[in-house]
Amino acid sequence: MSLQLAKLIPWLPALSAVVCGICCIKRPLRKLAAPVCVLSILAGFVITLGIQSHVTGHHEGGAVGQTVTLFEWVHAGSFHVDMAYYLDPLTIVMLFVVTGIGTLVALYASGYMAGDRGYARFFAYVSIFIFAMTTLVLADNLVLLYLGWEGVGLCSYLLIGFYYQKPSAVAAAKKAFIVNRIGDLGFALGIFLTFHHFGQVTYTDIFNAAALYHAHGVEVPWTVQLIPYLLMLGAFGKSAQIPLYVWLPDAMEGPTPVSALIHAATMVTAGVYMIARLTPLFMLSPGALELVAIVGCVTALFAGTIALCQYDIKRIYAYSTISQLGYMFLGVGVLCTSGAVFHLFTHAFFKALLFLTAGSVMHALAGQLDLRKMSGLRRKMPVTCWLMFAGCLALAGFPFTAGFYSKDEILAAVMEKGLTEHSALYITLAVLGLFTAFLTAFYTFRLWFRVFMGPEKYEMGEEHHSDEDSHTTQDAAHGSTSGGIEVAHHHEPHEMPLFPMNLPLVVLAAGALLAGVLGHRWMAHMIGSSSAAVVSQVAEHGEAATETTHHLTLLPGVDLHTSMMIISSVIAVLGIVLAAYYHWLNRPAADRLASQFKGLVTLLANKYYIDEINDAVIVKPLNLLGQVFFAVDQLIVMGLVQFVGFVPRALGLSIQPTQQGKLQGYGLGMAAGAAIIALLVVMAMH
Amino acid sequence: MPEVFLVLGMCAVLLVPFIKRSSHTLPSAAAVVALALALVSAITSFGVMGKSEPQVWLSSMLTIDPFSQFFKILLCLFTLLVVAQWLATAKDQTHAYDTPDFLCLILGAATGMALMSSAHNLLMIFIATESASLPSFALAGWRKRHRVGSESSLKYVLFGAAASAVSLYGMSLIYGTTGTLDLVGIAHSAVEAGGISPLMAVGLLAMFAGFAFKLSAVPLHFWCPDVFEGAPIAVTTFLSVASKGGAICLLLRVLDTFGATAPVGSKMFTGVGVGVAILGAITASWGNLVALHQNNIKRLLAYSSISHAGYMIMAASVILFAHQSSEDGLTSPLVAGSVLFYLTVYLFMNMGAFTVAALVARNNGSEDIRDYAGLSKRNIALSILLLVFLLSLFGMPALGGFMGKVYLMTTMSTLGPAGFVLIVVLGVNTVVSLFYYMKPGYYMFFKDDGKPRQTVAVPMLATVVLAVSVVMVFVTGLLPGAVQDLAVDHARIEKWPSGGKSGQVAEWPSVGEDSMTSNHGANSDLRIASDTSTNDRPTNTGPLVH
Repeated sequence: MSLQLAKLIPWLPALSAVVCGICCIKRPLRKLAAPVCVLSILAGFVITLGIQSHVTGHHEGGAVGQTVTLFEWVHAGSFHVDMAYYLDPLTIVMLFVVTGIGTLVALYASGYMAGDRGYARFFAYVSIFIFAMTTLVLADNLVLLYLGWEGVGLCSYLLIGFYYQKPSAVAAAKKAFIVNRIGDLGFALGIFLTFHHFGQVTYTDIFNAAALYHAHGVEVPWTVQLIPYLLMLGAFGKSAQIPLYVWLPDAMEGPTPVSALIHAATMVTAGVYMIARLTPLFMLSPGALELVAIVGCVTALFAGTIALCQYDIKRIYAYSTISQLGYMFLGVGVLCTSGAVFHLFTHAFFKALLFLTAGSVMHALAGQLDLRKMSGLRRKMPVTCWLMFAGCLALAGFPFTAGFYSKDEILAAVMEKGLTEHSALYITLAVLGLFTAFLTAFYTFRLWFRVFMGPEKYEMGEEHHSDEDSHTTQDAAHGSTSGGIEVAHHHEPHEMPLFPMNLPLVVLAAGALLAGVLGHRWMAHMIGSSSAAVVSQVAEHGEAATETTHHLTLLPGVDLHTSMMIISSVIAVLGIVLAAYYHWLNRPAADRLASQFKGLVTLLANKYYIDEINDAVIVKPLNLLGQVFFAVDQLIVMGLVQFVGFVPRALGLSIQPTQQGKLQGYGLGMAAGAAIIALLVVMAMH
Repeated sequence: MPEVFLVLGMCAVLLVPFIKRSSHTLPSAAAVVALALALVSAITSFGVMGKSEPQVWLSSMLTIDPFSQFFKILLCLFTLLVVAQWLATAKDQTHAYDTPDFLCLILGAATGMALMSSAHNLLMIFIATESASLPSFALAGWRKRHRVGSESSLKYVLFGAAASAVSLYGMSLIYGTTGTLDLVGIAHSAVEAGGISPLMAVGLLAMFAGFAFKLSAVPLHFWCPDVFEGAPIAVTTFLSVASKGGAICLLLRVLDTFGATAPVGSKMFTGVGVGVAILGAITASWGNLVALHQNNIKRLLAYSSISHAGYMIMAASVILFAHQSSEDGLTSPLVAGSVLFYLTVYLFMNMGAFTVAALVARNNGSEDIRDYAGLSKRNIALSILLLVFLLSLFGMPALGGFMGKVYLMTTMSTLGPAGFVLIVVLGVNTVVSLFYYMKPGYYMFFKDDGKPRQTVAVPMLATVVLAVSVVMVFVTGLLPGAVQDLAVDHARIEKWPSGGKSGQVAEWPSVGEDSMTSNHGANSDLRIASDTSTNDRPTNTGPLVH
């Protein structure tokens, strides 16, 4: 399959967006929206499969991707920006994630969203999202990347506010948009500075320029060192890291498939992707990498602790996403890009799975998300129960699941860096990372045990799907229940139908369990031959480094990696066991424990009061400032504007009578006017 | 030669009724074919231009250069759109017997306007202007039993005749002082004489009055609102763009010839330029101010067209100095190109606005803006389109009108401080114009008086016209490069016709070489050198000598 086919990957969903848009307007066509959307994404996946051998087969060791140019975009002097796609193994991995998970989630959504009024609109948004996300991933320059970046931001905004009748959804959408703007400001500045320094924004040019710095070992100017800090701000905004993480938990107001696709698997990982892509640029600035690692680790821990005391299922997963993204940043921060991207890859599987199963639970309980109001659902929803179990195992890092391999790779890299460089900082980060892993295992299984184990007991939610087209006919045809029909059966939680809802989940579950075993060598190879590979420094010190690594160990008799594996396995199992004790076998014990640490629990349950602090420190003063400006505007500017509007009107009114319709008057006017102009010319000449 | 096809088309539309009487279709088809052929001919001749020398026709009466061909492309395209608009909106109100007459008059006027853009000789200028005017007079009174229409048509004829007479008198004075009818010859004898004699100044003033009449420049604008109101909308559309376009091309060519002939650094034609600039500034401001209080959409657009003509006149005045301000005269194509670009944009946005007005008028039976109330509820697409066209006329970024104004301002900025004054005038006028351009928008979207009105039907042809217009408004607004390249880089005004040496023409080479050498001097030396040469020859700037 030709590499040129890659051009189609973004544009098929774009086409699908148009078709879905038409479906929005023509109501009889609306059922078509889902198949069109799913097929367009699936086509992207198939193309990715087809071209991947071309991309990986072309080069050994070198980190040179191939460029496929769609058309020339901006050519101004020496400045070139093309609508061009850059294909290297990292691109391929990301394309697999975006199109693969995208297909599955869209398929699930075709059942989940059935009966919703905005059915076609939803798939139109999803198509635009896939278009923007694949553009982001495929871009061969920073400008196009930025375009995709803003595109996914827009889609995220639209989809969070999908239920625009709900004030909370609108507020959440606005919050996401504004917080992202702050990050994007930094990102844009970073791009400007890149252009200012390197004169180009194409990856290849930037990499070549960065390689020159490495090769000659010259001092890197501080302005160049500044670029990563600015770009990082954009990444933190998009990938919800401290201090710009606040939007992601609220973003759960969107439909659940959106939470799975955009706010767990794909869009939020754009920041990680960007840093991984620009590794050569970030390597010019060691301080920046250190900061990325620290922020990542702190975010992981911070969000992990909040997740401990939340009761909203989707919010727990949201905080868990923030926490896992923190791991990825920790990974890129210590230049373990393959680990970070690997974690991105596996996380996409299990987090999408977890969100979608949470969606199934929510669906079955008419929008109920409160952990305290459900229990023992395993008999009602057996398939969902075990699917979510698979996802939980992977998230908790249970041995030999996907999450175990990827998380371990990152932590081992951090520990290795700490030990080889004798850096207390990185050792601390590694230990914190391990502790977070314990928290992760605990809160994940707290949720699972609470929902599915224990005595059967549940309260239905408040949500009545306002569906106009009742689905009773469809239900009859299926013989089982389908989505969006809580009006019909309000009383009984039910399992989801196999197709189209549970089947994609089975695929995801298989990925969550097996992607680690099957994928970790492939991933190392892929990332090793992409631009994210850490070339120069490792090449020089490579041998020495590997030798020392062999001597490093934490446990007797095994090398560092194996010992980290053992430690994290123990931690994961410990977390699961504790969760089982407190939240399944002996639930009163959990309450007693909570009452002992009442202050801490309140603090965590209120998410460290960050939203309130932001409100008091940033939002309120800004509001006040806005009011001051508004008053000034009303008093002074408005008056000016009114005056400016008044003067021409008065003038116009005064000269209007010249047009009175009489020939004589016109003739006189002409003669007089000609005379005046002649006079003016004479005056102007002298 | 597109004009040939236009004239053949005139014959054809008058002859086809012999095949089948009282048919709309046949004459329309004949007119459309003639226009299409003319368009193709203009495009092909524009395509080969630039490689070959400019052609001179009818013993140096007409110059066929890329500049004129570009305008003719616009003209043919525009006339096609006007015919389409007329067929879509007014056909059912016209008796089939009258269709050939109408089309013949439109084609005749178009022929005259096409000739205006090429005219290079006073005689030709007069003939072209008249052959554009006479059909226009008849078209303005097209609605025979319509009182306002007949009245305005009569006014148009009277003022037109007066303007022609004045213009002709001016031309005869010019001929009397210079002894030639050729523009280049006139400019040369003025340069030879060391300046414009008072008699010639009067002649020029009178001749420009004729141009100003066609351009409806203040103070010769009085006919414009009345005629626009009285004429059928298709005619109004046609006059608002084509007639003014032809006149602005004529003005550009005359000014360019003068500017190119004057030696670098001389100030002998400054008076002409200043006069034209003042004329433009007054026209733009006057049109905008009076437009503020109009309630008839056609009158409003009439005043708007006056002010747009004013913008173009202001920019056209720059071309006179273009050869002075830059050593290589590179600014001259920039000026001509940006005015042509503006004309292109103006064509499409005016076309669109008038077409919507025609549709609404056909439906409402009234041209009052207050009857646009609640139009957005009845036909949202039409309302949005009208809003887009009006915003473009105002100069909203991302729409063609904005880029047009930007290019005009770029042009003006080459003049230095005086250009800055023009830019300020243009800017202030733009702001003022927003008030009245938003008036229909206000009624359409925010004001619903609740009177029941029918939904506005849009015939197929009108959809095509609107689609073409709106697409071009966006294309020129978002991707102005393509049109701008064509207009600036290719649509040059050729100054030295190679053929057509008549008696008087034979005399210029000596002067021509003289001025050429002084041009060369300025090119090769530093800028200061040309300045000193100005100081060496005080007679150039001194009192007018004859």
